[in-house]
Amino acid sequence: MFKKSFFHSISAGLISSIACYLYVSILRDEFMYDFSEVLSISNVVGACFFSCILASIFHTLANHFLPKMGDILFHVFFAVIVFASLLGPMLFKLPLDFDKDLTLIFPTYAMVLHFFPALIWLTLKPIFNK
Amino acid sequence: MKKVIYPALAVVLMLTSAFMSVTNQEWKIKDDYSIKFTSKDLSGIFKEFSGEILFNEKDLASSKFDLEVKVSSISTGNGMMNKKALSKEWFDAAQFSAIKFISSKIEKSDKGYAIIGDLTIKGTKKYTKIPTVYKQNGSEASFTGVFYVKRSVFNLGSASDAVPDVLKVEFSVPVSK
Repeated sequence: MFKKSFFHSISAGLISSIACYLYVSILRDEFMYDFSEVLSISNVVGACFFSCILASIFHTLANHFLPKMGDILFHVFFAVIVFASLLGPMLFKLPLDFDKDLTLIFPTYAMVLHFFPALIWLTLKPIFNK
Repeated sequence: MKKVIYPALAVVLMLTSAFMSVTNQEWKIKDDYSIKFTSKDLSGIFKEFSGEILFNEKDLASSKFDLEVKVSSISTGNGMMNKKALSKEWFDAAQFSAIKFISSKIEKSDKGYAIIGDLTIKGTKKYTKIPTVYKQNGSEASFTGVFYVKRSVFNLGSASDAVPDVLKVEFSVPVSK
């Protein structure tokens, strides 16, 4: 159970990191949305792994302590946390001399990134939790 | 003839001396200025600033500051807050595009100078004293200082505990001849 959970989180972390990297690179190279000054790729990769590992830990704990309702409760809790985390980019303060147009785009840009680990973690869940 | 020369010379000297008053120095604002506002909650900068500075330490009476800060150049580091700052509730940038300061008097103070004049924000004019430190180095100089703005006086935003009423404004204006 723990082994499966571990590999689930690592796989989801890895795939979401790749997806985030592609998203960041395409927006930077094609649309000139360069936020590398405030959001480095190492930060993004770290956040992907961290959130996927955290999700697996909570999922395992939920199923362990509440075998019947754990999965449902976890999914509700997971959705609430993902949506609540969108406040982060909305309230984030960029450097004051940052480009004004990019400052306006930043919340939308970063909000999309917040969904990558969650979506990939959920996509891989049936594979690791048969 | 000699009798006429000296009185004539005196008259000429007197007339020319009338035009020899201390000429006031006009300073050009350099690009690396900074206009920053801070409070417990809110902080930011204004990126666009312009104006006319006539300043001579020896002739404060005819020194003058006529300055303008473009409201739309506000940057708080957050896109939503920038937009809100330009809204009717705050600076109402559509109607009042600039913050203006026109000096009426400059006084020498302990630490430098006090530039006194009318500060106009969102159409409200207020007699304001701005303490300034002036440093000159050859053909370059700088004006730096700190003053406080009570936002309720200028009808900026609504009364709330989230944003303090008093904002600290720090400025640094390098100039050159």
